[in-house]
Amino acid sequence: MVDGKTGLAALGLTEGPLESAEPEEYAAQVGARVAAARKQRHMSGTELGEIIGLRKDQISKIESGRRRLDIAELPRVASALGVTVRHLLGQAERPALAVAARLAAGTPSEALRPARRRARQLLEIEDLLTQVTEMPPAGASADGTRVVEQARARFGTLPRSKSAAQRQGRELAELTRHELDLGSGALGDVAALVEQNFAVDVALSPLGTEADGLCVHCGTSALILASSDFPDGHLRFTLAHELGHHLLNDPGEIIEETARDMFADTARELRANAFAGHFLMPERGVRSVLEWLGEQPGRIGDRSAVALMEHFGVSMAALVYQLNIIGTLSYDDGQKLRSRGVMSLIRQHQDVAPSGAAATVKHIRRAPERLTRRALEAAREQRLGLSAISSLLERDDDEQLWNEIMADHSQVVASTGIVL
Amino acid sequence: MTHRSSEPAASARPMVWFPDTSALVTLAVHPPLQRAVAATLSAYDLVLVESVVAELEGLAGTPDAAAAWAGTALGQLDWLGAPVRVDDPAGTQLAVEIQELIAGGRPLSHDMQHYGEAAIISLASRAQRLQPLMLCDDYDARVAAKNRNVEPFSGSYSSLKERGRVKGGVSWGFAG
Repeated sequence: MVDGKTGLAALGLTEGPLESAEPEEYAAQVGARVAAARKQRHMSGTELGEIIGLRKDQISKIESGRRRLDIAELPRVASALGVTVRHLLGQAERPALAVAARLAAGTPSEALRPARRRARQLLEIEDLLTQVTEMPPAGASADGTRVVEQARARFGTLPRSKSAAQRQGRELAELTRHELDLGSGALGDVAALVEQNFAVDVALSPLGTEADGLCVHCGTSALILASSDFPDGHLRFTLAHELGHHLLNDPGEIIEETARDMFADTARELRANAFAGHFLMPERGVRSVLEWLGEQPGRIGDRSAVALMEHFGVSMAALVYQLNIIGTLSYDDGQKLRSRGVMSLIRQHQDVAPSGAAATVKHIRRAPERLTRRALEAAREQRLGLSAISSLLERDDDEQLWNEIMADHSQVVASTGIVL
Repeated sequence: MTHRSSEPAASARPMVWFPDTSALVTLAVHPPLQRAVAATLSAYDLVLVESVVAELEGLAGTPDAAAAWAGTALGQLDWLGAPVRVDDPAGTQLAVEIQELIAGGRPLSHDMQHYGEAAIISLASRAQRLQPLMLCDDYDARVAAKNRNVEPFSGSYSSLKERGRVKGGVSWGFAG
């Protein structure tokens, strides 16, 4: 070892151009970035010090370059300032990581914390896959691109009245169904439909029942995350609601949803809910099912309600909301229907709800297909380790996972010699 | 770095071993293996990266089951010589990136987790005038090393033997 030296110089090797920056100068540059980020967050040196466990004078020395920020301190400082370590080190910022850092910053309510943690993890994995496998950004279908373009051209301004919000949400749902050639029937796998068409990654995780999910969107790409601790019908409505926010380019890089947020009496939420309702349960489709069931509009019985839930894969709450909007059920009758208890109604009318799926909680874990496919390829080729894929799939049985991934890929292992 | 090798170089590039945190913890669990590996690798140049020591210290302070072994490993570092710093700008930037890669989105149990392996790969991958070899029991770190031209080996005896790193004339002190 060459005393007093660091890096390649400590091994007695000549340094290349990358190693040319002087450590003192570098410490000053990092310190200046810390100071700038702290000021941007309107945080005092004392406040930053309290968060990361340093005194105010130590923060001052770091910011002036007189004290080098230790590698163990870097993640804590970056997290407290809502920036990436990469930013503090002066490396080129990567969009997904920057959003992930902003998700980690601040103090969200306890209810929103699991969703934020999962979203941050997915964004970090997306960044890893982009670096390791040169994964291209998510792409939209031609039909989906037309929907986005029209949605933003026609509904770019937030409506001023509730009726206008509901009208816009309905028009967008009809536009979306028309462009995607979906007719007026029930939608199958909503998550897959969204991913196929809208350059949106969709993830489902058991995130508790305090929050429904969130939408992280910037530009034309997005991540939608929903909690699968809710019944499937509720989950589908959340996905459609978040898609509405994204298509309408609603303001906010991160849109978080507790039940209070989703059903807030604001134009933004009413519009997203109207979109979700009409997207999942188009009026023509609903009337067609009612006609098949021999019901008269305005006189919807328990059995028909259960059949509609099963047919469209929606919750009783969402169904009542939509039937009320399209004028086939009064508000009072809707409330009576809801008060009878969903599971009890399904048990009574199993003939029209053989699966009962809409009211079933499945605790599904679904990672975005684009990331899963790419991560599996990279893991099989041993360009990526197991951590990324086990994080992505939310698995902790590394040995079993490795066996599953490497089944039929023994030639890769033989060539690299790397085994678990 | 300890310069102890008087063996003829197998290639033009001298072999240098970088033991990482996970391997040192493994060796701490099994004293005969530790003695055997130390005896064999002491014939070569060895580099103990300072971040490995820091990671062992971090691990020793966690409630992790391996914390006690990390403490043992910290008391067994003499054969590796004085630690080498990797806090130069380029080394730090690359190490942070590799740490993210090895963590793979899993939350870190302490800030230095995986940083030892990351700092080794950061340094060793840039030291291609040498033949860098990493002794490492973390699969993800071995994959990351391999992709940056650092040859990884598990610290387990069988792995080293299977891959030809234990040859005739090298006494391991116990039967393989």
